Amino acid sequence: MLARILNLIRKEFIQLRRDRLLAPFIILGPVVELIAVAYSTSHPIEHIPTAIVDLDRSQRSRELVAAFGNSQTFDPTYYLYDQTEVRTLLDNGTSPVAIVIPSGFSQGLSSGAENPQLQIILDGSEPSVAQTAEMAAQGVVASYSAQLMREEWGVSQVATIDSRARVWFNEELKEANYTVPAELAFMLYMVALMVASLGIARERELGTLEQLLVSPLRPIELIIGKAIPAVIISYLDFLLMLAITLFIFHVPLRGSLPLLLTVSLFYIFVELGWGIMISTISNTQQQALLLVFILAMTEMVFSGYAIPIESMPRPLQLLSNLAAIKHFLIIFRGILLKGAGVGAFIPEILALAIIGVVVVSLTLWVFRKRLD
Amino acid sequence: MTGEKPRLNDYAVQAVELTKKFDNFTAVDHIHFTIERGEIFGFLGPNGAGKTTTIRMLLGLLRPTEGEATVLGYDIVTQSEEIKKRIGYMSQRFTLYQDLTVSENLDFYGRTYGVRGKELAQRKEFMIDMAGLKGHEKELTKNLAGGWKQRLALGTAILHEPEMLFLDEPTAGVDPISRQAFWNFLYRLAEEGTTIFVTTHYMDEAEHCHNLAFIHNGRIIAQGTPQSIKEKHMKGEVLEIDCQRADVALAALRELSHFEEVALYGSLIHLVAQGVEGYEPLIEETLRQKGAGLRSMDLIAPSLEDVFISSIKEQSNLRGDLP
Repeated sequence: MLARILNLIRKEFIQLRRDRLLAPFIILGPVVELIAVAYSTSHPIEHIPTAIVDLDRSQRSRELVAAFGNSQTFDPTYYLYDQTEVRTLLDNGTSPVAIVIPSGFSQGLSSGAENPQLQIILDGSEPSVAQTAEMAAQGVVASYSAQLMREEWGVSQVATIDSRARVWFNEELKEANYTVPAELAFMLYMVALMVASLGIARERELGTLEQLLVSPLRPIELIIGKAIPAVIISYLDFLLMLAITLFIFHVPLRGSLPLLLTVSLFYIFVELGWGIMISTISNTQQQALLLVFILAMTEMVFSGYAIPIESMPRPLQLLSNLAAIKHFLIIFRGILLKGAGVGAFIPEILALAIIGVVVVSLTLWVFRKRLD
Repeated sequence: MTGEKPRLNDYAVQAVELTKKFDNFTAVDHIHFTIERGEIFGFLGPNGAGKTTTIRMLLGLLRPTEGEATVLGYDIVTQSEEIKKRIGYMSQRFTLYQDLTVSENLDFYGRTYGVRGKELAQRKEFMIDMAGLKGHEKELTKNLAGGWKQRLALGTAILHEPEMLFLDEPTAGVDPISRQAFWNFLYRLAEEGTTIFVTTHYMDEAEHCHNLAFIHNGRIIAQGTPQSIKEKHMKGEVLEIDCQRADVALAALRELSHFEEVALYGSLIHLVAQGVEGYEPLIEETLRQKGAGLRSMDLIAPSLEDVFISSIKEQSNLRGDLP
C-alpha cells in the first residue's frame, strides 16, 4: 500500500515539475497577490489633494488653512473663489475633500456671539478616504480652537474631559495587520483547493483514471497519493507567505509559532478535502476550476474579510460557520496579533475538525458512488 | 496484502445472466458466455452494442444490475481486488501519461502492479524492444508517433505479465501493417498462456480469434468459433454482385423478396439465399431491366460480416422487429 502511494506521489511531482504553467502559477501567483495587497494597504492615507474655498479671506482663515496644510493628511492644492467649482473637482475625483470657510468666519470668532461655521465637503464614494479625512479635519479644528483660546483669551488651563480610545492588538490601526493575514489565508485556500481539485479531474479528463481504477491501486490510496503533493505544495506556499508577512510587512507574531504552524497544516487538510471533493465530482479540469471559483467566492463572503459577519442577517451568520476560512482567520489573527494560546481557540479548532471529517467522508462516499 | 483466495472455477471468464441497466436503457441484457484459459476471445458488435459496458463490468468499473460473472475464477463484484492484480487492460483511449517519458510510464505502471527492482528493469527492456522504442526511452510520450504509442500502451498493459488481457478496440485508427504486427504479437501471448479478451468492430480481425461472441442491442446473438458461427447462422450461400449502379440494383433486388439478405458492401452487393445459384438468371434479367449495368456475379465464401448481418436479421425476425 505504502509503495503504491509513494509511486503515485513520485509521478505527481515529475508531472508538476514538467508543467510550465502550473508550478510558477501556484508558487508565484499567491506571493505576488499577497505583496500587492499588503503593500497597497500598508500605507496610511496621507496628503489628500484638498480644495480650499476661503470666502472670508482674513488672517484667521489663512491661519486655519495653514493648520490644515501642516497636518499629514491634507495638501491644500486647489484654491477656489467660488463654491460652485467644488462640485467639478469632486465629480472628476481630482480632489476628494473641500474645505469651505464662509465669509464672516473671523468676525464670528472675535465677537463670540455665535459659533462660526466651517464646512467640510467629502467624497462619500470613497468611504475610507472620507472617514480618514473627517477624523483628521476634526483633529485639526480642535487643536486650532485650543490655540485660539490661548492666544485670544489667554486661557491656558481649561478642564475638559480627555476621552481617548486605546486600540488593543493593532495599536496603530495598521490596515496591513488586518488585510495581510486575511489575504494570506485566502491565497493559501486558493492554492490548496486548486492543486487538489485538478489532481483527479485531470486524470479523469485524460482517461488515465480508468487505467488506475483497474489497477491494484485502491481509491483511498489514490486520494492519499493525490493529497500529499498538494499538502506539501500548499505548506511551502504558506511558509513563504508567512515569511513575507512577518519580515517584509512586519505584522507582529505575538503568539506561539509552533501552534501557528500546526493549526495551518490542519487548515490545509480541511481545504484539501474540499478540493478533492470537487475533483471527484468534476469530469474535466475546466469544470473543477469553475467549481473552485464558485466555492472560493462563497467562502470569501463568509470569511469575514470582505464583509463583517456581525452585519449579516442571523441565518447567514450561522451559515458562515461552515466556512473553514472564517475559523482559521480567527485563530490566525489571534495568534499573530493577540498572542493568544490554544485555549482561546477551542471552538474554532473543533469547528475545523468537524468540517474536515464531514468533507473527507463525503468525498470518499462520492468517489465510490461515482464508479456506478 | 490480502491472502490468496480460492478461485470459484477454472474459466478465464464465466458470465451468467449478466445485465446492466442505465435508468430505462438496458445496455447489456442477460448475456451468457464462457472463455477458456489461453484463448483469444473476440467480442464483436457495432458501436453502442454493449461491448464496452460488458468490459467495464468485468473489470469492476461498473456494478452489474443483475446476474453475475467471474474473471479468472474470481467474482467481479466481491473479489475485484484479486482480479485487478492479475489482469492487464488497454482501453479505447490512449491512457499513458503524455507528460511522462516512455521509461517513466513503464516505471509507474510497473510499480503500481508491484513489479520493481531488477525484474522491472528486465521487463522494461523487453517491452521497449518489443515496441521498437530503443533509444527513445527518455522521450516524452506525447512526442511519439501513433503506432509507437499504441505498442507502448500494450507494453504497459502486459508489463506485469497478467494472466488475462482485456483490449477494448485496440486497433482503432491503426494502419493495416501495424494491425497485422499487433495481432501476431497477440498470438504469441496466447501461445504463452495469456487469455485475451478483445473487442473490435473490424470483422476481418474477428477471423483471427479462437472464439467469438456477437453482441447487438445488448444481447449476444451468436457465439462459437468463427467456423461454427458461419455454419450455424448463415442461411444459404453468398453471391457477390458488382454492377455500375449499385443503388438501383439494391432496390430492385430487395423488391424481389426471394432472398434472405441483400446488403451493400462498399460498392458491391452481397446477396444471401439458399441455393442462390438457381436465382442467377432471374437476377441477371432484373438488373438488365432496371439498367443497373451488371459487371460480374460470383459465389463467395461468407465473411463474418455476412454472418453478422444475417444473425442480426434472424434475431429481429424472432422478436418481430422490422428487418
